[in-house]
Amino acid sequence: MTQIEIQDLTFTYPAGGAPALDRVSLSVEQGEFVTLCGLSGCGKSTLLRLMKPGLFPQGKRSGRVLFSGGELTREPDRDTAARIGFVMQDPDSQTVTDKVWHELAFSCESVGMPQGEIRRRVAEMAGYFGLEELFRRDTETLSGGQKQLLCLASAAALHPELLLLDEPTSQLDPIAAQGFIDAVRRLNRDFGVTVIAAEHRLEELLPISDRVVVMDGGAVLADCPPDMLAERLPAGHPMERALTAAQRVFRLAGGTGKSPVSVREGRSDPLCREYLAHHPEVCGNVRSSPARDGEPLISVSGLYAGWRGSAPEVLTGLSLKLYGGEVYALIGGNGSGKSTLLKAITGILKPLGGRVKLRRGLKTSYLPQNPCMLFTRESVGEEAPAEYLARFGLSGLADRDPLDLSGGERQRLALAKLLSGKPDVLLLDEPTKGMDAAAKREFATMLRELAAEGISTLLVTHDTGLAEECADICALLFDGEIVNEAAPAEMFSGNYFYTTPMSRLARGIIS
Amino acid sequence: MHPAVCFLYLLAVIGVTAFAGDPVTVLISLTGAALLSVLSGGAGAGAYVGIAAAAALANFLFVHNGETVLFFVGNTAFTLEALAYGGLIGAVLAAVCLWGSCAVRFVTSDKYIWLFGRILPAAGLVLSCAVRFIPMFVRRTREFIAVQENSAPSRGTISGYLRAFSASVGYSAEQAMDSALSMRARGYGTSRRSSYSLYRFTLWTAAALALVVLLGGTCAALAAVGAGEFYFYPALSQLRFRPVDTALYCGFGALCLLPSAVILRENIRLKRSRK
Repeated sequence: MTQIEIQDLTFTYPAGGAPALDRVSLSVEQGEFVTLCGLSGCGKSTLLRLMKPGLFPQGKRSGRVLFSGGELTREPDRDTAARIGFVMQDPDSQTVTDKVWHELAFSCESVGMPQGEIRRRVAEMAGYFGLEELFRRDTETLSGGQKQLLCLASAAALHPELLLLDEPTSQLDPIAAQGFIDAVRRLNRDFGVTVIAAEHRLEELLPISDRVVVMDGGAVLADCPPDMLAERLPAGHPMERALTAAQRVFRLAGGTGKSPVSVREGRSDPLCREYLAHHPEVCGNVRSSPARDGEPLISVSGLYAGWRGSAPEVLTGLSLKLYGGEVYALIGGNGSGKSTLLKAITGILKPLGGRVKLRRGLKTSYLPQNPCMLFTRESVGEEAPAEYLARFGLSGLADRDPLDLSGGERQRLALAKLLSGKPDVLLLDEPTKGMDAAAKREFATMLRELAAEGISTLLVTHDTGLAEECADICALLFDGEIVNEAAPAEMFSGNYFYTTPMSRLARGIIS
Repeated sequence: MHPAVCFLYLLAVIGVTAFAGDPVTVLISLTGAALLSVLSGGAGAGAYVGIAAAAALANFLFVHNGETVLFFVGNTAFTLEALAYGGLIGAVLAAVCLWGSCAVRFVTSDKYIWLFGRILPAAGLVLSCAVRFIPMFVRRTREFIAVQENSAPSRGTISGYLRAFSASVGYSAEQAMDSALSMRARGYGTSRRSSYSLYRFTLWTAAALALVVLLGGTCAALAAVGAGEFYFYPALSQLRFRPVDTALYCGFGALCLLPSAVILRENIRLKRSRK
């Protein structure tokens, strides 16, 4: 049975220009798990919203969207509100109430369910999603991953038939993201909920999807099972970089037809094994790193830092040195103290012990996890000088409000603003959060260019791919200390979990 | 405890305290409040002693009624009665404040939300959002200020703070639009809201409620028929212990000690179960 059918859908935003969706047709069967992907701005968010009454964007629309055979209306009613669940990107702004239990009950209250029924559903959902421990907590004390899970549970409490996910894991660290994806997969498997998920994280999603839809410029570029995507994606398309490691190797090896998708499939695929054995370079750039000697720009020794009182993030005796012209990437789990370290170096947080020494006259610039914190002006043009805007490809956006920019554009604007202050060192906290594969690639290239100009970077990230691509030296932070510091190639071939999917694929095959 | 019991209890205790005009009732109330405050880990009773002393002193200085003159300054008489009445008013204030501070500790946001949710589900929701938003906004603004002080040249100036504040407001507004979408996505506005609460009205709730109503009602009725009457002017009257007075004092004493007794019993039970 067809769950949702999109016929010849065209959509143009009021600002005009090219249509955001251009004659899109798509049909999804009941119980299917569909991954929707494409670069930022390809129209996947617009498409998802046009499937959810109440979230329709303003603009001109033609074509039809049929849900279980009936046409969807712009305004939501009790029925579609319950039957179509929607989870968005930002865990903070999606959470509405102050208590976990209230957030769980929110959707049930909205459709006017009686108390007794809400009590039962809330209990069931808390149990199913493992939220019992958190049930009476304040929502503010939850991590991003827990908040996203809560949003999913709140939508699931209405027993939806269709779940629409708009980049729900883009703000999460890899472990939390995996937890969320697992929960979605369970809903799909246990209850036959149809899932359409827009995501950049294909490595985790494709192996569990029934189908993948790639969009480009508002049109459907490919619509096929995941194992056919390697063949269907045109050569040189920017989405190439977003493919799973196994698919990338399969393409490099010139394979045709069905490809392996997951790391497991890739490791047992003869073509991939053969290729990897002869091309060890796919696993990492071997960069000639600058010599690490002379006077360090930043030297941290025996640093103790954290939030006094209720402190989950604490550094206990951390030491590191940053030298001129290098990119230093710090990886590690949530709460390992990565952000705390940057805050201690900038002076936002006073160290509880140890020393942070900056070379005399050193100018540092700090990019917080939320780049919006740097914006103080009404328009992009006022935030940074024109030549810096041009360098980051933002010239066309000079009249826009910084808060109206997309996630990737915000990061670029923040960097433009920081660089216009001519710093010696950039301190970046999770700079590629929410960026698509192409933007990440560009970002990595830019950090290398800056390093060549002599601007060093200390980078805190979950993204092992980024670290591998741009860092001269990587460090793994655990339990308040640096447990390992090495060049990326060495680090990622040695690490088992904190490594790139490509290294996991090639482990033991490349000797 | 069920919010209904909490609210009714507070209403009864504070009501009787405020309208009773005799030292014994006020003293009982003060004792009960102080005991509960100590048991629930509250501190800072010093401020309330200060309030009481200030009220007593003010009445003593500015009211000159009463027969028992302590001393004259010029032509003005300073009387014992004025001092005593001031002391009573101070004690009432202190008691009400102490009950209030206990209430803050026990009546958490979800209890208010229950109360408003009963009457107006939308108001309950607004309250719940506000309880979440206000501390978040304060924290976020602090972070904005810290980050911008770190990056901007206008370090520590008023205009720097203002800019950070307005940036935080702008960002919050942006987030609020997202929240609104999230609410719509979860069916907000599609039908008349119902209101869910963790609290269930059980037999125990009914019993506790009945006890509070009984005690509170009796006290109010006794006070209305003139139990515990006491005059300050023109001269202090005698404390009387007729059956009605005694009944009022005992009843109100029981009411005031009720929460402390519940807490004590739980503590004892907890200790036993640990052994």
